[in-house]
Amino acid sequence: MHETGQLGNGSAALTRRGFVGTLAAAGAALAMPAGVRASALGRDGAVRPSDRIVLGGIGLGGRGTGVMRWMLNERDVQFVAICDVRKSRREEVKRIVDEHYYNKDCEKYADMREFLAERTDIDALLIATGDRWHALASILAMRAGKDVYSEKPSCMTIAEGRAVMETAARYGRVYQTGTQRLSQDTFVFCFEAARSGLLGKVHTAYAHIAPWDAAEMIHDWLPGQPQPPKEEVDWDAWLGPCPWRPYNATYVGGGWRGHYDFHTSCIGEWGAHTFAQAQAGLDALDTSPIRYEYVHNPTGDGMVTTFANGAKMILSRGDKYWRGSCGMRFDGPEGWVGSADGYQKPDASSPALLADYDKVVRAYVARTQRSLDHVRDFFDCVKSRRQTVANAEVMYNSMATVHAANICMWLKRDVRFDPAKGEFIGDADANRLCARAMREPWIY
Amino acid sequence: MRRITHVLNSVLIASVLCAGALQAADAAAPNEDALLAVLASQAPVKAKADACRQLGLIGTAKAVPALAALLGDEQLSHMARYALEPIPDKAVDAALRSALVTLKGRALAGVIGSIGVRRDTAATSSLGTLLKAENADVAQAAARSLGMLGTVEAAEHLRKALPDASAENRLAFCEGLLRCAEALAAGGRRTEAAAIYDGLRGLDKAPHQVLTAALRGAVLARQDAGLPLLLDACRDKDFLLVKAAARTSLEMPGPKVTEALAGALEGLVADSQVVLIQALGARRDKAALPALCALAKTGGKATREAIVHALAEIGGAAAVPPLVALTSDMADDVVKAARNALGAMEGSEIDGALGAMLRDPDPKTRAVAIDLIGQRRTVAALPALLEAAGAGEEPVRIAAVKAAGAMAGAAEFPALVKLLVAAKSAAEAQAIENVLLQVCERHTSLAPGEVTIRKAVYGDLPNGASADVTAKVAEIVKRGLLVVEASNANFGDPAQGARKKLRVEYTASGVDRTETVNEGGALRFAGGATPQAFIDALRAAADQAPPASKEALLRVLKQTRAPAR
Repeated sequence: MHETGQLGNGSAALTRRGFVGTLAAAGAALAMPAGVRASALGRDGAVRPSDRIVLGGIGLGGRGTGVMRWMLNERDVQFVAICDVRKSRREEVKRIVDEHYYNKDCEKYADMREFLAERTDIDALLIATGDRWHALASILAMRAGKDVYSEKPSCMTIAEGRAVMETAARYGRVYQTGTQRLSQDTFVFCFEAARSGLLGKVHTAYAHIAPWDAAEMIHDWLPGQPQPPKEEVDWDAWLGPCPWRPYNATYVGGGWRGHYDFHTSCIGEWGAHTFAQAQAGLDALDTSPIRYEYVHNPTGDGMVTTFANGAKMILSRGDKYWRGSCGMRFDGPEGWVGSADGYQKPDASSPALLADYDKVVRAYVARTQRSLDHVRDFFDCVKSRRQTVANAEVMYNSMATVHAANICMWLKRDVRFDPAKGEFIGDADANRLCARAMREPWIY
Repeated sequence: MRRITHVLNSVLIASVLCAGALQAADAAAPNEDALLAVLASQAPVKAKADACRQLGLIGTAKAVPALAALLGDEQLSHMARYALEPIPDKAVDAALRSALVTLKGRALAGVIGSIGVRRDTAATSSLGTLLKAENADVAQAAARSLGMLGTVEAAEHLRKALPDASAENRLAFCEGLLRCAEALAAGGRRTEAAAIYDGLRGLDKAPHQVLTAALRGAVLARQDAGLPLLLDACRDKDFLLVKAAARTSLEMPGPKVTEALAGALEGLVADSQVVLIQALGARRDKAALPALCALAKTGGKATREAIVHALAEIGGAAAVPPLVALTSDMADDVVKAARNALGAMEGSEIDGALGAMLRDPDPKTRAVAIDLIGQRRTVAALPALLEAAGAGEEPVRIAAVKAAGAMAGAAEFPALVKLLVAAKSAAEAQAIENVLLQVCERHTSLAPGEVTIRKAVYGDLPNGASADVTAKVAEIVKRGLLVVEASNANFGDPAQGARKKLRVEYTASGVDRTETVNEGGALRFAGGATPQAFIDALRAAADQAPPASKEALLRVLKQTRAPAR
C-alpha cells in the first residue's frame, strides 16, 4: 500500500479542457439545474464532454448516494468512477450511475491510493465515507490534485481539521464541506439578517445538537466475527487510521456511530452543520469560540460558548428554538430570526423582520455571486477557483468548535481555546485530546 | 498459579478500565502505575489498548519505556504511539528515535509519522537516511515528516534525494519540500522558501498539483516582489497555471494587486479573462472598475457576462453606469444578468442612479429604470414613479404605475385615482384599476371577530389523506390571531411523508373567501374594510371622470363593497 506519483496526464487533459471552450461565468442562478441525460450524451444544448467536470466518488453509502444523485443532475459534470472498500456499495453506485447515463462506463475501485494514482482524469471527488475517513481521504485526494466535496463531520480532531485546511491551501484545491444549509435561502436570510444589523447587534446564537446519543462515546469492541474476504469488505482499509479492533458487520452497516474512534458524538452529528450556521450569522466563520462552559448533563445541551467579541453560541438539543432538525436562531435587541429543516420562510419575532425576505436573499446572491445550491456552488468554484461557501477554513473553524465542545464535556469542566493556534490555553490535558496518532501506514 | 494470575489481572483491569477510557476529570481516574501494570500483565489486547488510551491522557516520562517496548508489537504498535504522541516529554522523542533503527515496515513508518507530528528536529539526519529506504511507506513517511520539521536541513535532505526518488515516492518528496518551504516562509526565511519553490517549479515532468502549488508558494514567499511572477502565470499558455494564479491572487490583498490583475486582462484569451475577472469580483476592490468598464466594451460574450457578475460583487455607485450600459448589450444573457444585478444589489447609490435614469430622455432607459426600481421595491422612488406614470409614452406610463402599485400606500392613493381619471387608453385604465385594487387590498383592516371559519382542511390535498381542522383554526382565530401556520405542530400529521397543505374557507366582512397555503407557510386572513378615505377619493373622482374612467372607478368601489352612493 503506497502512493504512486504518476500524476502528469491530468495536467494535459485539463489544459486542453480549459482552452477548447469558453468557460461560463460563475452562475448566480436561483433555479435548480436543468436535466441531465441529454447533456451526458452530448445532445443539443449539452455541455461538451471536454468542458465537463470529471467526478468520482469515495465511500458512498446512503447519504453519499443522495449527494451523488444531486450531482449527477449537473449538466457540466460527468461521474466516472467509484472507490469503496465494500463491494456491495461499489456495485450499487455503478448501477445507479450506469442507469443514469445509459452506459456501462462507471469504473470500480477498492483501493483508494490506487484509485487516486490511476485516475488522473478526475477533477473532483465526492467523499462520503464514515466520519473516520473524511479528513484523510480529503487530504490524499487534494494531494493528488483533486478538488473535494466532503460530507461532514469533515474531521475527527482539531489537528485533522488543520491538516485539511493546510493541504487545501498548499495545493490551491477547491474544497467544500457538506453543510448544505449554508446555501439554502431560509438560512441565508437569517445569516444576512443577523449580520446586517436588522436584529440590532446580535448577542446570542442557538445551535441545534442531535437529539440522540451523548457527548460521551464508548470504547467497547463489538464481539469479533469472521472477517469477510477482502474483496467483499476490506476491513483494514475500512478502519483506516483508527485503532485496530476485530471485525463486526454492525460497524460496516452504520453501527460505528457512538464509538469514540469513529464518531464525533451528538455534538458533532448536527453541530457540524449548525455551528457553521451559527457562526455564519455571527460573522465568525474565520474563528471559533474562546470559552466553553461545562454543563452537568450527558449531552452538552445548554452549553454556553463565547467568542472573543463577547457573542455567545448556545448548544440546544430540544425544540425550544425551532421545529425541525438542524435549526439555528439569532437573537438581538431588535428581535430574533431562526430557521430549521422544512421551513418555507424563517421564523421571526415579528413578521416585519421578514418583509424584505426576497430582497435580502437576492442582494446576497448579487453580492456574493453564489448559487443557492450547495453542490452548484462547489462546481462553480471548481471552474473559477474561488473559495466555496463552506471552504476548508470554514470547515476547520466550525469543527474546532465541535471538538472543543466535546473536549469540554469529556473533561467535565470549562475550557478556554485559542482559535488562531488551535490549542487550549494553559490546558495540557485538553491539548492531549486535539490529535490522535494514526494507525500505520497512514500519516498526514 | 496461572489461574491466580489471570484472576488478579482481571481484577486489576476491571478496576483500572471499567469506567471507560476518557475519564481524565474523574476522581476515580486510574493512575499511571496501575495502567503500566496492565501493560506488563498478560491482559488481553483490548485491555492493553485501553491502557494505552489512558496513558495518552495522563502518561509521563515514567510510562515511556513500557510504551516504547510495544512499538515493535504488531498488535499494539499503533496504540503505543497513540499514548506516546501526546506525552509532553523529551523522553518520548528519544524513544521514537531509538525505534528508527530497530523497526521495519509499517511499524517503522508509523514511528516516523509520530516523529513528524512531534517535530523532533534531532531526528533530521536519521529521517534523511530513511528517504532511501526500499519500503515505499517508509520513504514516503520520512519525506513527509521531514516536511513537518520544516527546517533548512530537512529541506536539504529532501532536495538532494528528490532526483533519485522513485516515481511512486516522488509526490511525497515534493510534499515534504512544500511543507518545509511553508514553515520557512512562516518563520521569515522567505529567500530559502522561494528557492525551494523555484526548484519545484523547474522540476521535469512534475505533477500538475506540485507545479501549481510551487507557483503559489513562489509568489507568496516573495510578497510584493512576487507580483510579476503572478502576472506571468496569468498570461501563460497553460490554463492550469492561469487558474492557479487566479486562485493565488485571492491570497494577496490590496489595490496594487487588483490593478495589476485588471491591467493584465487585455489581450488574454477569453477563458483566462473569465477566470481573472471572477477573481477580481471576489476581491471586491473598486480599483478593478476602470479596466472592467473598458473590457465590457470590447470583450466577448463570456467576458462581458463575467464582468456583469464581478461588477455586482464590487458594487457601489461606480459599478452602476457600466451595468446600466450592459442592460443594452446585444446578448440576452448579458442583459438578463445585468438587470438581475441592478435589481438585487444593495446600496442607496444604486437607487440614486436608477432615479437619474428615470429622467433620461430615452424611453427604453426609463423603462429599464422603472423595472429595476420595481424589483428593488425602492419606496423613496414612488414620487418619481408616479410622475413617470403621468407623462411620456404609454408603455413607460403603464410600467411606472405597475411598479408604483407594488409599493404604494395611502399617501399615494389620491395620485393613483387621478391617474385613472386621466387615463388615455383602456389598457392604461385597466392597469391603474388593478393597482388601485391592490392598494385597497393591502390597506383593509380586519378584526378577528369579523372572520368566520366555514371549513378548514390540513393534509395531502387535494386527494390524499387529510384532517378536518375547522375547530382548531376557529380556535386560533378566536384567540385573536389572523395568521395561522400550516404545520404539524398545529394540526398533527394526517399524511406522513407527504408535502401537506392547509385550505381554509372563511367569511370576512361578509365576503366568502378561500385560501390555501403549503406546509410551513402562514395563511393570513384577508377581506377587511377599505379605509373610508379611499372610498371618499374614489367617489369624488367618479363624479368628475369621463365615462371609461368612471366605469373603472365604480368597479373598484364595488370591489371594496362600498355603495356608489
